[in-house]
Amino acid sequence: MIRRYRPDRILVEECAWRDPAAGEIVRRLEGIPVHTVRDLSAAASGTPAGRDPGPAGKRTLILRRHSGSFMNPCPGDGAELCCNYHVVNLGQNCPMACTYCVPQSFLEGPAVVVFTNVEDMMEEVGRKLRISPDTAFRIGTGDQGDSLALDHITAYTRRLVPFFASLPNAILELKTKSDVIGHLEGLPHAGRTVVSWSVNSERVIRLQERRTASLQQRAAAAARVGEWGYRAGFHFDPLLYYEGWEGDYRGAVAKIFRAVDPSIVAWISLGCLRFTRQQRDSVRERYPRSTLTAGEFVPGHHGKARYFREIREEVYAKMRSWIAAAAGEVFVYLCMENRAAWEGGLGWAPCDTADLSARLDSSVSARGCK
Amino acid sequence: MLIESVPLEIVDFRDERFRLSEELVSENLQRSLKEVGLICPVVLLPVGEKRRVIVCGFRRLHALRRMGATHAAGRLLDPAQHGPLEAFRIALWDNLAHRKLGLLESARAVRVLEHECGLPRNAIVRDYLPLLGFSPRDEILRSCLALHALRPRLRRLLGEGRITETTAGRLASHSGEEQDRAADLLERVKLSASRQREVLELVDAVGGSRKFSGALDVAGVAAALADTGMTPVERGEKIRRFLFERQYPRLTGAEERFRSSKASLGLTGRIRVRHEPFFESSRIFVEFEADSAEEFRAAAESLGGAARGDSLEGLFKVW
Repeated sequence: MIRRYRPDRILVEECAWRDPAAGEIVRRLEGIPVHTVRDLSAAASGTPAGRDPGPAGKRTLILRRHSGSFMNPCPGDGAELCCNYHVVNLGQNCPMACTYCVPQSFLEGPAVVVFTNVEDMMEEVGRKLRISPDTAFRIGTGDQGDSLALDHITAYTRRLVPFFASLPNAILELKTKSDVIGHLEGLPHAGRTVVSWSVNSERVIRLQERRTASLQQRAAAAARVGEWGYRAGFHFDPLLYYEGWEGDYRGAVAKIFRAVDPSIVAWISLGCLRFTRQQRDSVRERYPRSTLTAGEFVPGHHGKARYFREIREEVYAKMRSWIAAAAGEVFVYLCMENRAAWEGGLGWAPCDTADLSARLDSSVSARGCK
Repeated sequence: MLIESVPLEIVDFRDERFRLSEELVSENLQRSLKEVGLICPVVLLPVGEKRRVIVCGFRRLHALRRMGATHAAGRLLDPAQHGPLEAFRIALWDNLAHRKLGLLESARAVRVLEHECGLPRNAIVRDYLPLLGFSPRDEILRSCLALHALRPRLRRLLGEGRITETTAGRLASHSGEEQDRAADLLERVKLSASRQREVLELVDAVGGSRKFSGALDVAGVAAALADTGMTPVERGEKIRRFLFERQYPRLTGAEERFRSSKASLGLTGRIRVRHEPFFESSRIFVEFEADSAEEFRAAAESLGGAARGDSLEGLFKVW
């Protein structure tokens, strides 16, 4: 079990106290100094400057209200073949420290932020889904932070899972690198929540994903939620191409499926490393010795650098074969890729975004729930 | 205003705390001084009894000294009323009144304001960056301060227009040793602005943490730099190619196979075939020109021949 996050101080935006979540979170963190502030930007300046991803930067927990839209199309929107995903952000940043972290290249500070107006979020999601009753939505909360790493202090899953169980046209995906699953037990999920793990080779986890759960811990947690009737998902993303990658990733696939029954798996996505210029600069600034950005990268979707297609196809094809050998016919798809990479890597491609989206929806519903 | 004839021997030429001009030698200025003499007095700040620090007129005083003059008309500031900031403001406004400062001069001004005048950074950003033609942003202040650290050889290349301001800005963040290695390369080549960007990206990727030192170790680069048989443009292109091939071995291989397949099609000269950038799809683009029906038929026949041949598949399978 990974060490549960516990901040050194909590800054609460004055208006956030009106949300029940603020009081609940503070009560769960008894003994930690709490400061109520009117101007968060000034108060948060006490956190280390810059983009320090280290433990010091994350020791401040900020509780505040989110004033913008909660639910938005996934940033992958616009890729040649996209899965038509939506993201809901319930906070920003996470207690972990991944070298390749995307949010750390654009978030303003290193502090961990939790939005307290979760009721507003649920109201917005409910409203948007009612407008399009014939559309099936897959909605994830792990875009700008980890879906579960803070759940021991927010307990947001206890609100979200039953809420999504009541929605006729949505699937909630909780995406994590943690094993914080305690609050999921016993919830009435009605098969409408998929708990997913972002996974990688053990070497990548050890070197690039600091303060995350080990592969073994993630797989064990997936097996556990399977026992509670949830579907599980796995996202091999970002896949890194390095000397020895084949043995490492083949081993990772085998390790997962030694612990997890493939029948509980809703989907597995594959995505090779890609990064924006800002993200690359952020990695180079924070980890000058990292070789993460030193491969044969070419410009791709949204201007992000990605491995040359020959490399991506090789990686996808081999991953697909190892997954098939270990798990049989689990639905495998690619994240933010083009048709050529699908065809070269997986041997087939969906007709379009709607086709891929429909296949993902049916891979949850076809398996039903325990 | 106190103007007096100041002996050049008491002017401290080494004290450049208020200097703005990047280039101190001007043939035109020297000619002008020779023809009509010093029209405007220089401005000096007395330090003690026998030392005068230059506030305005660095180039004029250097030219006069080179010409063998012994005195210059100078306006002396009252040290009691002119601290470093007041004196430097005179130098700054004197320059801004008749010209736009160059990038290195602006960087120098920012550094003087911070280091010599002791102004807080937020005041420089707010009050002086707009004056120098910049947006009042912290990162611009940081860039200016970094740019001031540019080594002399790179400053000269920037002054000569052989490297762009963007290139200079990027190189300024490198260590002094790395800047010298960059100068080793950039002094021997001629690269357009876009090629400079590309080469810098390649150097970053290929050289790793050693940047230019690492890039200069790439096979062929040192030999190309030393090759006197090539023009600077040819040298630059050759080095760019070496770096590109090192960074993109698979892409280079795919391009070679594509070129070879294309050649084996035996298409006429006015038919152009190209692949999608970086082979992100297997799609190819074919274009031909014809000035007559006869030429059109010839091109179509050439394409028809290629379509029937065995080499066509190679265009679509480059790995």
